[in-house]
Amino acid sequence: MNIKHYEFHARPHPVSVLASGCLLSSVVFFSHAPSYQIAITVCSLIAFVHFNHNATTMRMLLLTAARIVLYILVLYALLSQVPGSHELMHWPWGCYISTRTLFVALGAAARVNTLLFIAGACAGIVKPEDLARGLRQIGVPYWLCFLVVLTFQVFDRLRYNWGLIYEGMRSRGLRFTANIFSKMGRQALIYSMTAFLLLALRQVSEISISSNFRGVDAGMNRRTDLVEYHWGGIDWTIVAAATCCVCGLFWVAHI
Amino acid sequence: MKRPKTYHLILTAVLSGIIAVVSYASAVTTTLIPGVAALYPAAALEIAFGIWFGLWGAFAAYIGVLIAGVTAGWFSPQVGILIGLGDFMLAAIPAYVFRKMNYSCQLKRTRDIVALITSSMIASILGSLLYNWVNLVLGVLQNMKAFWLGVLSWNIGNLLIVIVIAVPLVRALSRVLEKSGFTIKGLFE
Repeated sequence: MNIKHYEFHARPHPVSVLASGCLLSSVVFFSHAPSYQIAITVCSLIAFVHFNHNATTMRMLLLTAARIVLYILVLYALLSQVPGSHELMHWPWGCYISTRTLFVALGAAARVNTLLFIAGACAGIVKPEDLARGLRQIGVPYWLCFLVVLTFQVFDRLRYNWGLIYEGMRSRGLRFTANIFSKMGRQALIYSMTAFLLLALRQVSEISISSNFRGVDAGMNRRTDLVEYHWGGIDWTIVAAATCCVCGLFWVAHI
Repeated sequence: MKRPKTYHLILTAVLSGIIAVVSYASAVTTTLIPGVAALYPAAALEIAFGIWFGLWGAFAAYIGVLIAGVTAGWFSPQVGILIGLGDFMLAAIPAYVFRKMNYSCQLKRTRDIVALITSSMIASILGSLLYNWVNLVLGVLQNMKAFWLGVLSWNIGNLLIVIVIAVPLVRALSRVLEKSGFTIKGLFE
């Protein structure tokens, strides 16, 4: 019932969602006008909150914004390249932060975060499978759609593999917390990567074999077709004919 | 156009997944600007995949970074399509150099190691110019001084990663992968 209800409502075509997201982001990318910036940032934020309820993503975006502001403030304070009318804060060695520096930092953070909000809203609407189906409908080659979906599907498998290898290596005394520039850290990385890669490549072979069995390589235009066969008149005729042939052969041999 | 074989497609998808996971894990801790990490250990894997799997490794680097960046919120899809080319080059240039000039991926001789470091750094410089130019247009970097600072820090970080991680990784795993028959001899097959 849920599936029928879900399919009954008109849903946007995944490619149209992606295209409109890209179009909006392009406006942000090329426009530096503050009024556009504020309007698009607010709209994209509303869209993001509406379509993407993931709190972790939201927290990550806010952290990104804070990081950009901090980075630009520190960078321009050190370079002292954006002088303003009013100096907000003096730093050592003659560096300073002006009001203009602060506005530049906030503007850059808004621009980058708008792009991220739009991307987040698009990702909230479109599932990888939907995207592949939509791309297929507009004529994108099947192998490319297959690649996109498979990449998303493989994440869970890789996470599971890594968990197994991590626990196995840790129980054998490998220290993953060691600095990567130390001998111990490099050893941990190389040992775990060897096992991880070999396991992943073996799984590539297995998936490849199963895909070939399902007919992915035969024409590359569809996955498995399910064809139901029913026992009908032609089948009775074939069996009757075969029985007659066998009986006939016995009869001829007997003669 | 010759159709890619299923094995190569699946290989690219799995390698993309590995790069996405590793780049996500590595860049989270060390990012300064969104999408730009001071130290980016996934670069070592991108170079290694290029050397072992040719252009399939390079495609995987491109798709992996694109997916990681878009899903983690480092950049939007159309910005990612452009800046992902830097990661594609990071894998493709060493892959091309090693195949065309017959260097051994087991890095037995000094000239193989020099070739790995040189080709990776050429690719890294090209990638850093592209990435920082996009940041300049976006307004994250406001002037050319900041641009060159970004290029410099990017390449110093990548040089460290190549020497400390990529060289030991390629040297240690190449023999195992070649023996198992997983590596790809040419650029495509």
